[in-house]
Amino acid sequence: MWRAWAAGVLIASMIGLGACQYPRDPEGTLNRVEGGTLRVGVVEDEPWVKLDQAKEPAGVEPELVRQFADELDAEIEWVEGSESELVEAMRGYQIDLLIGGLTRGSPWAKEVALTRPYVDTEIEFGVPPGTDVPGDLSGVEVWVERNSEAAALLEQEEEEADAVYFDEIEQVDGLALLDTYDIDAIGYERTANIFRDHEHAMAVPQGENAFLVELENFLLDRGDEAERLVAEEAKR
Amino acid sequence: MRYASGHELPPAQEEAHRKAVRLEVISAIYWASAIVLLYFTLGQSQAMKAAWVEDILGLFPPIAFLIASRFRHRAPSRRFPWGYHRAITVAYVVSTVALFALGAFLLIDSLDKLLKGTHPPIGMVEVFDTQVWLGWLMMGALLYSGIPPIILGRLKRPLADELHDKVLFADAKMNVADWLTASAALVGVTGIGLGLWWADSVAAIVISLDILHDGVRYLRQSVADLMDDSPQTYDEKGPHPLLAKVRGEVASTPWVKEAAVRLREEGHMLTGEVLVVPKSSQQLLARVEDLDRRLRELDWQIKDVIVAPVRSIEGAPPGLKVKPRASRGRSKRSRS
Repeated sequence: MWRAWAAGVLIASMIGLGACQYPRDPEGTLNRVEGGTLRVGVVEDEPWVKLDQAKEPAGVEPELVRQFADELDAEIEWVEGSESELVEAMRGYQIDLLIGGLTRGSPWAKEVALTRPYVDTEIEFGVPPGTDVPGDLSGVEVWVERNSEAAALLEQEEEEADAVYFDEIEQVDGLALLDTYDIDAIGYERTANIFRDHEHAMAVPQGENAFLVELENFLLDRGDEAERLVAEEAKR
Repeated sequence: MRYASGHELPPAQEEAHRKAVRLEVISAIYWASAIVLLYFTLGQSQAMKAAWVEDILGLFPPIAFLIASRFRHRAPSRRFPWGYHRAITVAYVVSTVALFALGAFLLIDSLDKLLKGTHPPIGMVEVFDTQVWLGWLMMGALLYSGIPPIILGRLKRPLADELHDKVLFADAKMNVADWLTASAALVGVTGIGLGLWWADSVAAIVISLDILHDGVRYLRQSVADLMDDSPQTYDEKGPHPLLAKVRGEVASTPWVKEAAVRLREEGHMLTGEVLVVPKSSQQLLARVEDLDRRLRELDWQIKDVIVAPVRSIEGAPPGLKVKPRASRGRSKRSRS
Protein backbone atom coordinates (compact mmCIF):
# COMPACT_ATOMS: atom_id res chain seq x y z
CA MET A 1 0.00 0.00 0.00
CA TRP A 2 2.88 2.38 0.71
CA ARG A 3 3.56 2.48 -2.99
CA ALA A 4 0.10 3.88 -3.69
CA TRP A 5 0.63 6.60 -1.13
CA ALA A 6 4.12 7.38 -2.37
CA ALA A 7 2.83 7.72 -5.94
CA GLY A 8 -0.07 9.92 -4.81
CA VAL A 9 2.11 12.23 -2.76
CA LEU A 10 4.68 12.41 -5.56
CA ILE A 11 2.06 13.36 -8.16
CA ALA A 12 0.39 15.90 -5.89
CA SER A 13 3.68 17.61 -5.06
CA MET A 14 4.75 17.57 -8.70
CA ILE A 15 1.53 19.30 -9.74
CA GLY A 16 1.85 21.70 -6.81
CA LEU A 17 5.36 22.67 -7.88
CA GLY A 18 4.30 23.11 -11.45
CA ALA A 19 1.20 25.16 -10.68
CA CYS A 20 2.67 28.31 -12.23
CA GLN A 21 2.96 26.83 -15.73
CA TYR A 22 1.48 23.47 -16.63
CA PRO A 23 2.34 21.74 -18.86
CA ARG A 24 5.92 22.95 -19.17
CA ASP A 25 8.60 22.74 -21.89
CA PRO A 26 11.68 20.59 -21.29
CA GLU A 27 13.67 23.01 -23.48
CA GLY A 28 11.83 26.15 -22.35
CA THR A 29 10.66 27.19 -25.83
CA LEU A 30 7.64 29.22 -24.74
CA ASN A 31 9.54 31.19 -22.13
CA ARG A 32 12.32 31.98 -24.59
CA VAL A 33 9.99 33.02 -27.41
CA GLU A 34 7.82 35.29 -25.29
CA GLY A 35 9.24 38.78 -25.74
CA GLY A 36 12.07 37.26 -27.81
CA THR A 37 12.43 35.71 -31.24
CA LEU A 38 10.20 33.11 -32.85
CA ARG A 39 12.18 31.09 -35.39
CA VAL A 40 9.82 29.86 -38.07
CA GLY A 41 10.75 27.30 -40.70
CA VAL A 42 8.86 27.90 -43.96
CA VAL A 43 8.34 25.54 -46.90
CA GLU A 44 6.67 26.84 -50.04
CA ASP A 45 3.19 25.40 -50.61
CA GLU A 46 0.53 27.69 -52.05
CA PRO A 47 -1.85 28.92 -50.78
CA TRP A 48 -0.53 28.00 -47.32
CA VAL A 49 2.94 29.48 -47.65
CA LYS A 50 4.06 31.74 -50.51
CA LEU A 51 7.71 32.68 -50.70
CA ASP A 52 9.15 35.61 -52.57
CA GLN A 53 12.81 36.57 -52.18
CA ALA A 54 12.00 40.27 -52.12
CA LYS A 55 9.20 40.09 -49.57
CA GLU A 56 8.23 38.53 -46.27
CA PRO A 57 6.60 35.08 -46.56
CA ALA A 58 2.91 35.37 -47.35
CA GLY A 59 -0.09 33.04 -47.41
CA VAL A 60 -2.48 31.62 -44.85
CA GLU A 61 0.05 30.25 -42.42
CA PRO A 62 2.58 33.12 -42.29
CA GLU A 63 -0.41 35.39 -41.66
CA LEU A 64 -1.53 33.27 -38.71
CA VAL A 65 2.03 33.02 -37.42
CA ARG A 66 2.39 36.81 -37.49
CA GLN A 67 -0.71 37.11 -35.33
CA PHE A 68 0.62 34.44 -32.99
CA ALA A 69 3.97 36.22 -32.69
CA ASP A 70 2.12 39.45 -31.93
CA GLU A 71 0.35 37.73 -29.10
CA LEU A 72 3.62 36.49 -27.69
CA ASP A 73 5.25 39.87 -28.30
CA ALA A 74 7.93 38.10 -30.34
CA GLU A 75 10.02 39.00 -33.40
CA ILE A 76 9.89 36.50 -36.24
CA GLU A 77 12.95 35.03 -37.88
CA TRP A 78 11.96 33.23 -41.10
CA VAL A 79 14.05 30.19 -42.05
CA GLU A 80 13.61 28.81 -45.56
CA GLY A 81 14.44 25.24 -46.43
CA SER A 82 13.19 21.87 -47.49
CA GLU A 83 10.86 19.93 -45.24
CA SER A 84 13.41 17.27 -44.31
CA GLU A 85 16.08 19.88 -43.61
CA LEU A 86 13.80 21.93 -41.40
CA VAL A 87 12.48 18.86 -39.55
CA GLU A 88 16.07 17.96 -38.66
CA ALA A 89 16.67 21.52 -37.47
CA MET A 90 13.52 21.27 -35.38
CA ARG A 91 14.60 17.99 -33.81
CA GLY A 92 17.67 19.82 -32.58
CA TYR A 93 15.59 22.80 -31.36
CA GLN A 94 17.04 25.21 -33.95
CA ILE A 95 13.59 26.33 -35.08
CA ASP A 96 10.47 26.69 -32.97
CA LEU A 97 7.73 26.37 -35.54
CA LEU A 98 7.41 24.76 -38.95
CA ILE A 99 4.79 25.65 -41.56
CA GLY A 100 4.23 24.72 -45.18
CA GLY A 101 0.86 23.08 -45.77
CA LEU A 102 1.54 20.28 -43.30
CA THR A 103 -1.35 17.95 -42.57
CA ARG A 104 -2.04 15.56 -39.70
CA GLY A 105 -1.27 12.71 -42.06
CA SER A 106 2.26 13.99 -42.54
CA PRO A 107 5.01 11.37 -42.46
CA TRP A 108 6.94 13.68 -40.13
CA ALA A 109 4.45 13.11 -37.30
CA LYS A 110 6.94 10.86 -35.52
CA GLU A 111 9.74 13.43 -35.63
CA VAL A 112 7.87 16.58 -34.69
CA ALA A 113 4.69 17.37 -32.77
CA LEU A 114 1.78 18.35 -34.98
CA THR A 115 -0.89 20.67 -33.64
CA ARG A 116 -4.57 19.85 -33.73
CA PRO A 117 -5.90 20.68 -37.19
CA TYR A 118 -6.78 24.37 -37.36
CA VAL A 119 -8.62 24.09 -40.66
CA ASP A 120 -9.91 21.19 -42.76
CA THR A 121 -9.97 21.16 -46.55
CA GLU A 122 -10.92 18.37 -48.87
CA ILE A 123 -10.21 17.30 -52.39
CA GLU A 124 -13.64 16.72 -53.85
CA PHE A 125 -15.73 17.04 -56.99
CA GLY A 126 -16.80 20.57 -57.82
CA VAL A 127 -19.54 21.21 -60.34
CA PRO A 128 -20.78 24.31 -62.16
CA PRO A 129 -23.77 25.70 -60.24
CA GLY A 130 -26.97 23.82 -60.95
CA THR A 131 -25.35 20.64 -62.28
CA ASP A 132 -24.74 17.25 -60.66
CA VAL A 133 -22.03 14.59 -60.66
CA PRO A 134 -23.15 11.87 -63.10
CA GLY A 135 -23.93 8.53 -61.47
CA ASP A 136 -21.65 6.67 -63.87
CA LEU A 137 -18.28 8.28 -64.51
CA SER A 138 -17.01 6.07 -67.31
CA GLY A 139 -15.98 8.27 -70.17
CA VAL A 140 -16.99 11.43 -68.32
CA GLU A 141 -14.49 14.31 -68.56
CA VAL A 142 -13.08 15.44 -65.23
CA TRP A 143 -10.80 18.47 -64.91
CA VAL A 144 -7.73 18.02 -62.72
CA GLU A 145 -4.59 20.08 -62.29
CA ARG A 146 -1.70 18.62 -64.24
CA ASN A 147 0.74 16.56 -62.08
CA SER A 148 -1.26 17.17 -58.91
CA GLU A 149 -2.45 15.06 -55.97
CA ALA A 150 -5.98 15.41 -57.33
CA ALA A 151 -4.87 13.92 -60.65
CA ALA A 152 -3.33 10.97 -58.80
CA LEU A 153 -6.48 10.42 -56.76
CA LEU A 154 -8.65 10.48 -59.85
CA GLU A 155 -6.46 7.92 -61.57
CA GLN A 156 -6.48 5.64 -58.50
CA GLU A 157 -10.13 5.81 -57.62
CA GLU A 158 -12.05 6.62 -60.80
CA GLU A 159 -10.13 4.86 -63.54
CA GLU A 160 -12.98 4.99 -66.04
CA ALA A 161 -13.25 8.76 -65.81
CA ASP A 162 -11.55 10.72 -68.56
CA ALA A 163 -9.02 13.13 -67.02
CA VAL A 164 -8.62 16.55 -68.63
CA TYR A 165 -5.60 18.47 -67.38
CA PHE A 166 -5.40 22.19 -66.69
CA ASP A 167 -2.42 24.39 -65.87
CA GLU A 168 -4.36 27.48 -64.83
CA ILE A 169 -7.53 27.18 -62.78
CA GLU A 170 -9.30 29.55 -65.19
CA GLN A 171 -9.26 26.79 -67.84
CA VAL A 172 -11.65 24.59 -65.82
CA ASP A 173 -14.92 24.11 -67.62
CA GLY A 174 -17.23 21.53 -66.10
CA LEU A 175 -16.91 18.72 -63.53
CA ALA A 176 -13.56 19.04 -61.74
CA LEU A 177 -11.66 17.40 -58.90
CA LEU A 178 -10.31 20.28 -56.81
CA ASP A 179 -9.39 21.55 -53.38
CA THR A 180 -12.51 22.86 -51.68
CA TYR A 181 -11.12 26.42 -51.54
CA ASP A 182 -10.54 26.37 -55.31
CA ILE A 183 -14.09 25.13 -55.86
CA ASP A 184 -15.34 28.11 -53.86
CA ALA A 185 -12.93 30.50 -55.56
CA ILE A 186 -14.16 29.76 -59.09
CA GLY A 187 -17.79 29.90 -57.99
CA TYR A 188 -18.45 26.17 -58.42
CA GLU A 189 -20.53 24.09 -56.03
CA ARG A 190 -19.05 21.52 -53.64
CA THR A 191 -20.39 18.00 -53.70
CA ALA A 192 -20.24 15.49 -50.89
CA ASN A 193 -17.98 13.42 -53.12
CA ILE A 194 -14.78 13.60 -51.06
CA PHE A 195 -11.56 11.98 -52.26
CA ARG A 196 -9.21 13.12 -49.51
CA ASP A 197 -9.36 14.98 -46.26
CA HIS A 198 -6.58 17.45 -45.42
CA GLU A 199 -6.37 18.38 -41.76
CA HIS A 200 -3.99 21.30 -41.77
CA ALA A 201 -1.60 21.64 -38.89
CA MET A 202 1.65 23.30 -37.87
CA ALA A 203 4.62 21.57 -36.28
CA VAL A 204 6.57 22.33 -33.12
CA PRO A 205 9.45 20.41 -31.49
CA GLN A 206 8.36 17.23 -29.75
CA GLY A 207 7.81 17.50 -26.03
CA GLU A 208 7.62 21.30 -25.93
CA ASN A 209 4.16 20.98 -24.50
CA ALA A 210 3.67 24.46 -23.05
CA PHE A 211 4.50 25.97 -26.43
CA LEU A 212 2.35 23.37 -28.21
CA VAL A 213 -0.63 24.08 -25.97
CA GLU A 214 -0.17 27.86 -26.39
CA LEU A 215 -0.13 27.52 -30.18
CA GLU A 216 -3.05 25.10 -30.24
CA ASN A 217 -5.17 27.37 -28.07
CA PHE A 218 -4.32 30.25 -30.40
CA LEU A 219 -5.21 28.25 -33.51
CA LEU A 220 -8.37 26.72 -32.11
CA ASP A 221 -9.67 30.22 -31.41
CA ARG A 222 -9.02 31.20 -35.00
CA GLY A 223 -10.85 28.55 -36.98
CA ASP A 224 -13.01 31.17 -38.73
CA GLU A 225 -10.09 33.51 -39.32
CA ALA A 226 -8.19 30.63 -40.96
CA GLU A 227 -11.16 29.77 -43.20
CA ARG A 228 -11.40 33.42 -44.26
CA LEU A 229 -7.67 33.58 -45.04
CA VAL A 230 -7.86 30.39 -47.11
CA ALA A 231 -10.77 31.73 -49.15
CA GLU A 232 -8.96 35.03 -49.64
CA GLU A 233 -5.72 33.42 -50.76
CA ALA A 234 -7.53 31.09 -53.15
CA LYS A 235 -9.17 34.03 -54.91
CA ARG A 236 -5.83 35.60 -55.80
CA MET B 1 -11.74 -48.58 -6.02
CA ARG B 2 -13.59 -46.18 -8.23
CA TYR B 3 -12.02 -44.72 -11.35
CA ALA B 4 -11.54 -41.01 -10.60
CA SER B 5 -14.27 -38.94 -12.19
CA GLY B 6 -13.72 -35.45 -13.53
CA HIS B 7 -15.42 -34.05 -10.45
CA GLU B 8 -13.32 -31.51 -8.58
CA LEU B 9 -14.81 -29.33 -5.92
CA PRO B 10 -16.91 -29.96 -2.81
CA PRO B 11 -19.85 -27.55 -2.23
CA ALA B 12 -17.91 -24.91 -0.25
CA GLN B 13 -15.20 -24.66 -2.91
CA GLU B 14 -17.78 -24.81 -5.66
CA GLU B 15 -19.29 -21.67 -4.17
CA ALA B 16 -15.85 -20.02 -4.05
CA HIS B 17 -15.32 -21.01 -7.65
CA ARG B 18 -18.61 -19.43 -8.70
CA LYS B 19 -17.45 -16.23 -7.04
CA ALA B 20 -14.14 -16.47 -8.86
CA VAL B 21 -15.90 -16.92 -12.20
CA ARG B 22 -18.03 -13.86 -11.52
CA LEU B 23 -14.91 -11.85 -10.60
CA GLU B 24 -13.13 -12.90 -13.74
CA VAL B 25 -16.10 -12.07 -15.94
CA ILE B 26 -16.15 -8.62 -14.35
CA SER B 27 -12.38 -8.37 -14.88
CA ALA B 28 -12.64 -9.30 -18.54
CA ILE B 29 -15.41 -6.75 -19.19
CA TYR B 30 -13.54 -4.12 -17.23
CA TRP B 31 -10.30 -4.69 -19.17
CA ALA B 32 -12.12 -4.52 -22.46
CA SER B 33 -13.60 -1.15 -21.47
CA ALA B 34 -10.21 0.15 -20.27
CA ILE B 35 -8.65 -0.90 -23.57
CA VAL B 36 -11.26 1.07 -25.51
CA LEU B 37 -10.95 4.12 -23.26
CA LEU B 38 -7.16 4.24 -23.40
CA TYR B 39 -7.21 3.75 -27.13
CA PHE B 40 -9.03 7.04 -27.55
CA THR B 41 -6.61 8.97 -25.34
CA LEU B 42 -3.41 7.46 -26.75
CA GLY B 43 -2.31 10.50 -28.69
CA GLN B 44 1.37 10.53 -29.56
CA SER B 45 2.43 9.50 -26.07
CA GLN B 46 4.55 6.38 -25.79
CA ALA B 47 3.72 6.12 -22.10
CA MET B 48 0.06 5.79 -22.89
CA LYS B 49 0.73 3.28 -25.60
CA ALA B 50 2.56 1.14 -23.06
CA ALA B 51 -0.32 1.40 -20.60
CA TRP B 52 -2.61 0.30 -23.41
CA VAL B 53 -0.55 -2.75 -24.30
CA GLU B 54 -0.54 -3.64 -20.61
CA ASP B 55 -4.28 -3.54 -20.48
CA ILE B 56 -4.44 -5.88 -23.43
CA LEU B 57 -2.10 -8.29 -21.64
CA GLY B 58 -4.34 -7.92 -18.58
CA LEU B 59 -7.11 -9.60 -20.52
CA PHE B 60 -5.18 -12.86 -20.85
CA PRO B 61 -5.46 -14.28 -17.32
CA PRO B 62 -9.23 -13.75 -16.94
CA ILE B 63 -9.90 -15.23 -20.36
CA ALA B 64 -7.56 -18.16 -19.71
CA PHE B 65 -9.27 -18.72 -16.37
CA LEU B 66 -12.74 -18.62 -17.85
CA ILE B 67 -11.89 -21.00 -20.65
CA ALA B 68 -10.11 -23.41 -18.30
CA SER B 69 -13.00 -23.37 -15.86
CA ARG B 70 -15.30 -24.70 -18.55
CA PHE B 71 -13.04 -27.68 -19.15
CA ARG B 72 -11.51 -28.51 -15.78
CA HIS B 73 -14.27 -30.85 -14.49
CA ARG B 74 -15.04 -32.79 -17.64
CA ALA B 75 -15.10 -36.54 -17.21
CA PRO B 76 -12.06 -38.53 -18.32
CA SER B 77 -12.35 -40.04 -21.78
CA ARG B 78 -10.41 -42.30 -24.05
CA ARG B 79 -8.47 -39.36 -25.36
CA PHE B 80 -7.96 -37.71 -21.94
CA PRO B 81 -7.74 -40.61 -19.46
CA TRP B 82 -6.83 -38.28 -16.57
CA GLY B 83 -9.65 -35.86 -17.24
CA TYR B 84 -9.17 -32.18 -17.87
CA HIS B 85 -7.80 -30.90 -14.56
CA ARG B 86 -4.63 -29.75 -16.29
CA ALA B 87 -6.62 -27.09 -18.13
CA ILE B 88 -6.00 -24.94 -15.06
CA THR B 89 -2.27 -25.52 -15.29
CA VAL B 90 -2.30 -24.56 -18.96
CA ALA B 91 -4.17 -21.36 -18.07
CA TYR B 92 -1.58 -20.75 -15.36
CA VAL B 93 1.20 -20.92 -17.96
CA VAL B 94 -0.72 -18.52 -20.22
CA SER B 95 -1.17 -16.08 -17.33
CA THR B 96 2.44 -16.17 -16.26
CA VAL B 97 3.59 -15.69 -19.84
CA ALA B 98 1.38 -12.58 -19.95
CA LEU B 99 2.91 -11.34 -16.69
CA PHE B 100 6.42 -11.95 -17.96
CA ALA B 101 5.64 -10.33 -21.32
CA LEU B 102 4.24 -7.30 -19.53
CA GLY B 103 7.44 -6.81 -17.55
CA ALA B 104 9.70 -7.46 -20.53
CA PHE B 105 7.73 -5.19 -22.84
CA LEU B 106 7.67 -2.36 -20.33
CA LEU B 107 11.40 -2.59 -19.65
CA ILE B 108 12.45 -2.72 -23.30
CA ASP B 109 10.01 0.00 -24.31
CA SER B 110 11.05 2.43 -21.60
CA LEU B 111 14.76 1.80 -22.03
CA ASP B 112 14.32 2.49 -25.72
CA LYS B 113 12.48 5.74 -25.02
CA LEU B 114 15.04 6.87 -22.50
CA LEU B 115 18.03 6.11 -24.73
CA LYS B 116 16.47 7.75 -27.75
CA GLY B 117 15.59 10.77 -25.67
CA THR B 118 12.00 10.82 -26.87
CA HIS B 119 10.22 13.98 -25.75
CA PRO B 120 6.56 12.99 -25.72
CA PRO B 121 4.27 15.68 -27.15
CA ILE B 122 0.93 16.10 -25.40
CA GLY B 123 -1.29 18.77 -26.86
CA MET B 124 -4.86 19.97 -26.68
CA VAL B 125 -8.00 18.08 -27.54
CA GLU B 126 -11.53 19.18 -28.01
CA VAL B 127 -14.11 17.33 -25.93
CA PHE B 128 -17.71 18.43 -26.44
CA ASP B 129 -16.59 21.85 -27.70
CA THR B 130 -14.30 22.42 -24.73
CA GLN B 131 -10.56 22.56 -25.15
CA VAL B 132 -8.72 20.35 -22.70
CA TRP B 133 -5.07 19.47 -22.30
CA LEU B 134 -4.84 15.81 -23.35
CA GLY B 135 -2.65 15.16 -20.30
CA TRP B 136 -5.62 15.61 -17.97
CA LEU B 137 -7.64 13.11 -19.99
CA MET B 138 -4.74 10.68 -19.90
CA MET B 139 -4.57 10.95 -16.13
CA GLY B 140 -8.28 10.25 -15.91
CA ALA B 141 -7.97 7.23 -18.17
CA LEU B 142 -5.01 5.96 -16.15
CA LEU B 143 -6.89 6.29 -12.89
CA TYR B 144 -9.67 4.29 -14.46
CA SER B 145 -7.23 1.59 -15.50
CA GLY B 146 -5.33 1.72 -12.20
CA ILE B 147 -7.79 1.73 -9.33
CA PRO B 148 -10.21 -1.17 -10.05
CA PRO B 149 -7.35 -3.71 -10.36
CA ILE B 150 -6.35 -2.99 -6.75
CA ILE B 151 -9.82 -4.06 -5.60
CA LEU B 152 -10.13 -6.97 -8.05
CA GLY B 153 -6.68 -8.25 -7.11
CA ARG B 154 -7.51 -8.19 -3.41
CA LEU B 155 -10.72 -10.10 -3.93
CA LYS B 156 -8.95 -12.79 -5.96
CA ARG B 157 -6.20 -13.67 -3.48
CA PRO B 158 -8.34 -15.47 -0.84
CA LEU B 159 -10.22 -17.38 -3.56
CA ALA B 160 -6.91 -18.49 -5.08
CA ASP B 161 -5.97 -19.87 -1.69
CA GLU B 162 -9.23 -21.70 -1.11
CA LEU B 163 -9.34 -23.25 -4.57
CA HIS B 164 -5.62 -23.85 -4.86
CA ASP B 165 -6.02 -21.92 -8.10
CA LYS B 166 -2.77 -20.57 -9.45
CA VAL B 167 -4.44 -18.86 -12.41
CA LEU B 168 -6.36 -16.68 -10.01
CA PHE B 169 -3.19 -16.04 -8.11
CA ALA B 170 -1.25 -15.09 -11.24
CA ASP B 171 -4.14 -12.86 -12.24
CA ALA B 172 -4.09 -11.16 -8.84
CA LYS B 173 -0.36 -10.57 -9.38
CA MET B 174 -1.16 -9.17 -12.79
CA ASN B 175 -3.67 -6.78 -11.23
CA VAL B 176 -1.03 -5.53 -8.85
CA ALA B 177 1.33 -5.09 -11.79
CA ASP B 178 -1.37 -3.21 -13.63
CA TRP B 179 -2.02 -0.61 -11.02
CA LEU B 180 1.72 -0.21 -10.54
CA THR B 181 2.23 0.48 -14.23
CA ALA B 182 -0.77 2.80 -14.29
CA SER B 183 0.68 4.79 -11.42
CA ALA B 184 4.06 4.84 -13.17
CA ALA B 185 2.41 6.21 -16.29
CA LEU B 186 0.57 8.73 -14.12
CA VAL B 187 3.85 9.89 -12.62
CA GLY B 188 5.20 9.93 -16.17
CA VAL B 189 2.44 12.10 -17.63
CA THR B 190 2.63 14.43 -14.64
CA GLY B 191 6.37 14.62 -15.14
CA ILE B 192 5.99 15.36 -18.84
CA GLY B 193 3.69 18.21 -17.84
CA LEU B 194 6.47 19.54 -15.65
CA GLY B 195 8.88 19.46 -18.55
CA LEU B 196 10.68 16.35 -17.28
CA TRP B 197 10.60 14.35 -20.49
CA TRP B 198 12.49 11.43 -18.92
CA ALA B 199 10.17 11.09 -15.93
CA ASP B 200 7.90 8.55 -17.46
CA SER B 201 10.62 6.28 -18.80
CA VAL B 202 12.40 6.22 -15.47
CA ALA B 203 9.22 5.53 -13.51
CA ALA B 204 8.34 2.77 -15.95
CA ILE B 205 11.79 1.15 -15.76
CA VAL B 206 11.67 0.91 -11.98
CA ILE B 207 8.26 -0.72 -12.09
CA SER B 208 9.08 -2.99 -15.01
CA LEU B 209 11.93 -4.51 -12.99
CA ASP B 210 9.49 -5.34 -10.20
CA ILE B 211 7.04 -6.94 -12.63
CA LEU B 212 9.75 -8.76 -14.55
CA HIS B 213 11.02 -10.26 -11.32
CA ASP B 214 7.58 -11.69 -10.55
CA GLY B 215 7.09 -12.67 -14.18
CA VAL B 216 10.28 -14.72 -14.37
CA ARG B 217 9.61 -16.37 -11.03
CA TYR B 218 6.04 -17.46 -11.74
CA LEU B 219 6.74 -18.38 -15.33
CA ARG B 220 9.39 -20.78 -14.10
CA GLN B 221 6.97 -22.17 -11.54
CA SER B 222 4.20 -22.66 -14.05
CA VAL B 223 6.48 -24.46 -16.46
CA ALA B 224 7.73 -26.55 -13.55
CA ASP B 225 4.10 -27.45 -12.85
CA LEU B 226 3.85 -28.78 -16.38
CA MET B 227 7.02 -30.73 -15.69
CA ASP B 228 5.24 -32.38 -12.74
CA ASP B 229 7.36 -30.82 -10.06
CA SER B 230 6.48 -31.48 -6.45
CA PRO B 231 3.27 -29.65 -5.42
CA GLN B 232 3.61 -26.15 -4.04
CA THR B 233 1.16 -23.86 -2.31
CA TYR B 234 -0.98 -21.66 -4.59
CA ASP B 235 1.40 -18.74 -4.11
CA GLU B 236 4.52 -20.88 -4.70
CA LYS B 237 5.77 -19.93 -1.26
CA GLY B 238 6.58 -23.48 -0.18
CA PRO B 239 5.75 -27.18 -0.44
CA HIS B 240 2.06 -28.01 -0.48
CA PRO B 241 0.96 -29.06 3.04
CA LEU B 242 -0.92 -32.09 1.68
CA LEU B 243 2.36 -33.64 0.61
CA ALA B 244 3.46 -34.01 4.23
CA LYS B 245 -0.01 -35.23 5.19
CA VAL B 246 0.02 -37.98 2.58
CA ARG B 247 3.50 -39.06 3.56
CA GLY B 248 2.45 -39.04 7.21
CA GLU B 249 -0.62 -41.13 6.49
CA VAL B 250 1.46 -43.70 4.60
CA ALA B 251 4.14 -43.71 7.27
CA SER B 252 1.63 -44.40 9.97
CA THR B 253 0.14 -47.39 8.20
CA PRO B 254 1.25 -50.47 10.16
CA TRP B 255 1.38 -52.96 7.28
CA VAL B 256 3.69 -50.81 5.15
CA LYS B 257 7.29 -51.90 5.17
CA GLU B 258 8.56 -49.24 2.85
CA ALA B 259 6.96 -46.76 0.47
CA ALA B 260 7.62 -44.00 -2.07
CA VAL B 261 5.22 -41.13 -2.67
CA ARG B 262 5.22 -39.00 -5.80
CA LEU B 263 2.60 -36.33 -6.25
CA ARG B 264 2.07 -33.66 -8.86
CA GLU B 265 -0.38 -30.85 -9.41
CA GLU B 266 -3.04 -31.16 -12.03
CA GLY B 267 -4.68 -27.78 -11.82
CA HIS B 268 -6.72 -27.76 -8.63
CA MET B 269 -6.02 -31.42 -7.92
CA LEU B 270 -3.08 -33.43 -6.66
CA THR B 271 -2.51 -36.74 -8.35
CA GLY B 272 0.22 -39.34 -8.26
CA GLU B 273 1.23 -42.70 -6.95
CA VAL B 274 2.00 -44.25 -3.63
CA LEU B 275 4.21 -47.29 -4.14
CA VAL B 276 4.09 -49.52 -1.10
CA VAL B 277 6.04 -52.60 -0.15
CA PRO B 278 3.74 -54.53 2.21
CA LYS B 279 5.14 -56.49 5.12
CA SER B 280 3.02 -59.43 4.00
CA SER B 281 0.53 -60.13 1.29
CA GLN B 282 -2.13 -60.94 3.85
CA GLN B 283 -5.42 -59.16 3.10
CA LEU B 284 -3.52 -57.01 0.67
CA LEU B 285 -6.46 -55.86 -1.48
CA ALA B 286 -8.51 -54.76 1.49
CA ARG B 287 -5.53 -52.93 2.99
CA VAL B 288 -4.70 -51.14 -0.20
CA GLU B 289 -8.27 -50.03 -0.63
CA ASP B 290 -8.37 -48.85 2.96
CA LEU B 291 -5.21 -46.75 2.50
CA ASP B 292 -6.64 -45.39 -0.73
CA ARG B 293 -9.82 -44.34 1.08
CA ARG B 294 -7.91 -42.71 3.92
CA LEU B 295 -5.83 -40.71 1.47
CA ARG B 296 -8.95 -39.45 -0.29
CA GLU B 297 -10.42 -38.42 3.03
CA LEU B 298 -7.43 -36.20 3.72
CA ASP B 299 -8.62 -33.46 1.37
CA TRP B 300 -10.85 -32.77 -1.61
CA GLN B 301 -7.76 -32.17 -3.73
CA ILE B 302 -6.90 -35.86 -3.60
CA LYS B 303 -9.20 -37.96 -5.74
CA ASP B 304 -6.82 -39.69 -8.09
CA VAL B 305 -3.87 -41.03 -6.14
CA ILE B 306 -3.08 -44.63 -6.91
CA VAL B 307 -1.83 -46.93 -4.20
CA ALA B 308 0.29 -49.59 -5.87
CA PRO B 309 1.61 -52.58 -3.90
CA VAL B 310 5.02 -53.68 -5.14
CA ARG B 311 7.61 -56.23 -4.08
CA SER B 312 10.41 -53.72 -3.74
CA ILE B 313 11.28 -50.14 -4.57
CA GLU B 314 14.68 -49.90 -6.10
CA GLY B 315 16.30 -46.71 -7.22
CA ALA B 316 13.62 -44.38 -5.86
CA PRO B 317 15.21 -41.02 -4.97
CA PRO B 318 15.77 -40.87 -1.23
CA GLY B 319 13.60 -37.74 -0.89
CA LEU B 320 10.55 -39.61 -2.11
CA LYS B 321 10.89 -42.63 0.13
CA VAL B 322 8.75 -42.97 3.21
CA LYS B 323 10.10 -44.86 6.15
CA PRO B 324 7.23 -46.10 8.26
CA ARG B 325 7.24 -44.84 11.80
CA ALA B 326 6.75 -47.80 14.04
CA SER B 327 4.39 -47.55 16.97
CA ARG B 328 6.80 -44.91 18.29
CA GLY B 329 5.75 -42.52 15.55
CA ARG B 330 2.09 -43.07 16.17
CA SER B 331 2.28 -42.47 19.89
CA LYS B 332 4.16 -39.25 19.20
CA ARG B 333 1.27 -38.10 17.06
CA SER B 334 -1.39 -38.98 19.56
CA ARG B 335 0.47 -37.06 22.23
CA SER B 336 0.53 -33.82 20.29
